[in-house]
Amino acid sequence: MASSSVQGIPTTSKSAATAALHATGSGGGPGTSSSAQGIHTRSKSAAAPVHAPASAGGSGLRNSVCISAKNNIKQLLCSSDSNEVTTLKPRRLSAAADTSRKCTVGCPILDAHLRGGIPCGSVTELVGESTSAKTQFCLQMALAVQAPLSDGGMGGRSLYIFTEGYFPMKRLWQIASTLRKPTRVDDKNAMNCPQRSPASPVFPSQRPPPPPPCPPQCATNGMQTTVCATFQQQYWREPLFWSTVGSRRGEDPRAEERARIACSNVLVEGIHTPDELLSLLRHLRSAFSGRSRRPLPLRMIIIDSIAALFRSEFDNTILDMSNRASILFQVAGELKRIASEFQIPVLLTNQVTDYIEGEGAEGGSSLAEARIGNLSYMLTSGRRVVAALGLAWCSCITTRLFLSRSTSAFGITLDGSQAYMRRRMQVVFAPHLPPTSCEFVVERCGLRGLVS
Amino acid sequence: MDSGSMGAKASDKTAVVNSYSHPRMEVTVLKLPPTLRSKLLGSGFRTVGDLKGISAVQLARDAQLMHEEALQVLKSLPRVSSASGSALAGAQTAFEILQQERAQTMISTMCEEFDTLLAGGICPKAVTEICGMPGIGKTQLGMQLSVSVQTPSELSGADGEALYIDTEGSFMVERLVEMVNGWLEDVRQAAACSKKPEAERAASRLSRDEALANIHYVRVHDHTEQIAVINTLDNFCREHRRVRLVVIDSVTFHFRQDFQDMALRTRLLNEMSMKLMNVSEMRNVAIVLINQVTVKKMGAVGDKRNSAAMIVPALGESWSHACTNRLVLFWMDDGRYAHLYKSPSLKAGMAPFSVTSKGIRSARESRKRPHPDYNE
Repeated sequence: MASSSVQGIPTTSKSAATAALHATGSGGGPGTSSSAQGIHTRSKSAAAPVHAPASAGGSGLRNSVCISAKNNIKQLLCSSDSNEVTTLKPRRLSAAADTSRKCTVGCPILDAHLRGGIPCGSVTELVGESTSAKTQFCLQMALAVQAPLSDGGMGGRSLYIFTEGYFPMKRLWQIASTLRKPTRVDDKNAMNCPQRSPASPVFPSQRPPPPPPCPPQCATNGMQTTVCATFQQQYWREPLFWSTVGSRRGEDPRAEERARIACSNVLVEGIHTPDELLSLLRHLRSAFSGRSRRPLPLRMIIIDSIAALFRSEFDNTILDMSNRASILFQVAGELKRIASEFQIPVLLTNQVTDYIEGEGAEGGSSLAEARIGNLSYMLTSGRRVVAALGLAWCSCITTRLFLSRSTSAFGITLDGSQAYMRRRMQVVFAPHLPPTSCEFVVERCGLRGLVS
Repeated sequence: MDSGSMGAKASDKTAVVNSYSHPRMEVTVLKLPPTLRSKLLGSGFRTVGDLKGISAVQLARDAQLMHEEALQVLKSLPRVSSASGSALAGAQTAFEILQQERAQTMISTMCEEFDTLLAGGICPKAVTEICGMPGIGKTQLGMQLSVSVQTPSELSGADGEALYIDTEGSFMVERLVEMVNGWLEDVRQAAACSKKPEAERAASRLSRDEALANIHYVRVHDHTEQIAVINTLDNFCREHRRVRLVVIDSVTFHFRQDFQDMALRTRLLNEMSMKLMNVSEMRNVAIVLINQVTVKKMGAVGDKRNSAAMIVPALGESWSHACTNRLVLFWMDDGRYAHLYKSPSLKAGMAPFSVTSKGIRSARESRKRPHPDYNE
């Protein structure tokens, strides 16, 4: 099957599918369908490079991901990971083995609100107006995913795909040097969250491979620092991930060192068109195998923001809109496949558009009034908004969280004199969460939930 | 009219006649090359009845055919006639069907009003489609049904297992555990209220782990896999005879990506729906399809004033024939409602329901949701 190698679909699952097709004696229809699926046929994408031309932010990903398709397939064939897909064979569920893991957010209150964090194996979307702390949340997640399993993290690297402006490196550095360990809260709601212990690794493949032959480079071109191999080992033996002292700079002697390691585990990639994104995702598979030369496996994908890609590229014509929907669905399909096969969390951000009263009569669309999810309307800074990218995209994501700001100019005072903007995180829809909301503030060390 | 189209017509006719097989049917209507037919007629085999019970060797000798040809003739005989002699042996009277339908146990949704709307619950031997906006509770309903299908027969439940085909990755086991716990609680309560010792015994036998183990789960990553799973569904149901419910959540997702050829998509979907209907009928299984919704533009293209948009189930007009029953879930006045949109036997109607921590339950018990207010 030629198309399977082009798309980078694992040979095992694909051949199993075809085998099943032939076994039941209806190879005809589906066979043609999979060749029809092929690779995306827009002329733009055929020539689209896997990586964007060097742009702001630079890329540490290039070394790990930019493996030729040939290598990619070779790796797949010889890999005998536990991640091997065994679809098509129904399995019986059990509470212990199948409860999905969560990746901590890095704040115990927000974790309790989200019942443990961002779920693995599905796609979570953050939607909110600009300055509603979407990027802050993403940066924090990019760091929190590196936390050891015992602390609720995933013990892996994160891929941060940014699509608008530049990558906020300074802020990442700041959070990295002050990130504090979330203290466990005994919450009744979080009872279903499995207790993890370092003695029983959930993913055996996540054991760190021996130190890399070549020292990895820092992820950003701003700081091309080389991280010593000794630090990497130390990192694993004794997690120096979390800051042990207060949140103010200078108090923690190891802040610099820790931030350097944490930042070097965030792979940053700038993507500027939907086609680039699609081809990157299709080649991403190799980055997840634990055998890469990098010390930590990739364990999270963050796209900030998906809306920026799709809102700029397409005209408001019927043809372009249907093209947009088609690529959106393909991107969603690819993300879900990666999320489920490698059991990692995928986090996206989305923008909002203002809700215009009476749009139904004039603009030919009464859909802005159609209620999606738990909230009868979404309110931020006193305005009523709707999520961008429309209804089709809505059905592509599993969980949607709405981040909003209050109108109050003063905010609240927590400790000391500084006033914080009050923000709120609401569950718009999620298969595993009740329709709750939680207030939070953005501090120097990241997001911090407030007890209501 | 050229000979090609004539030939096509003739073979169509043959196919039709073949389906009613009768011993007095003439051999000329069998799907055979003309030379073979004339050889048969020439040696005195005029009707299908003449060919009955004859062996290939005998036929080859009597009609002076090659052995392969004789086999081909015997293969072309309608199977029903050779088995029973009467084509209508499998037919049932309407009364029999009514009796069977009365004996069927419905799969409860655990919400009283919802069950009333569906006359007891989701019907076995039928394909039911559930569609609605994102976040309305389609997946929750699918998960709830796969739990409540296990209600023991002593409590007039279906006492079966469920197969959950997940195409979207929205199936969360931790939520399922919550639902199972809620279901166990309610079943035990119902058993205690019924004051029947056998019901109480059946309820006490249930356990959380067993309930989870009775749900078979498949994760499907693209449409090829989805079709493959549906093709193997019949085998699966034959091997797992206790399976009473198959949920496909959602049937839509993979068919909305990457289909340039819409005619191909329609064909694949139709094939899939035929298979599903067959399986549900043959294996006495309820099939629940979860569908997404999409926007349909009404009126002329580009005409801004007259064009309106509607929210309709995805996969197009032809897909609406794929299901026997169609339920539309929607929001109304801050509450969830189900609308029975299509059903061959039930009255169209609406029923409120709510999604609670235990699962799908009656809307009466649910509390009002607090709404955060920033403009105080």
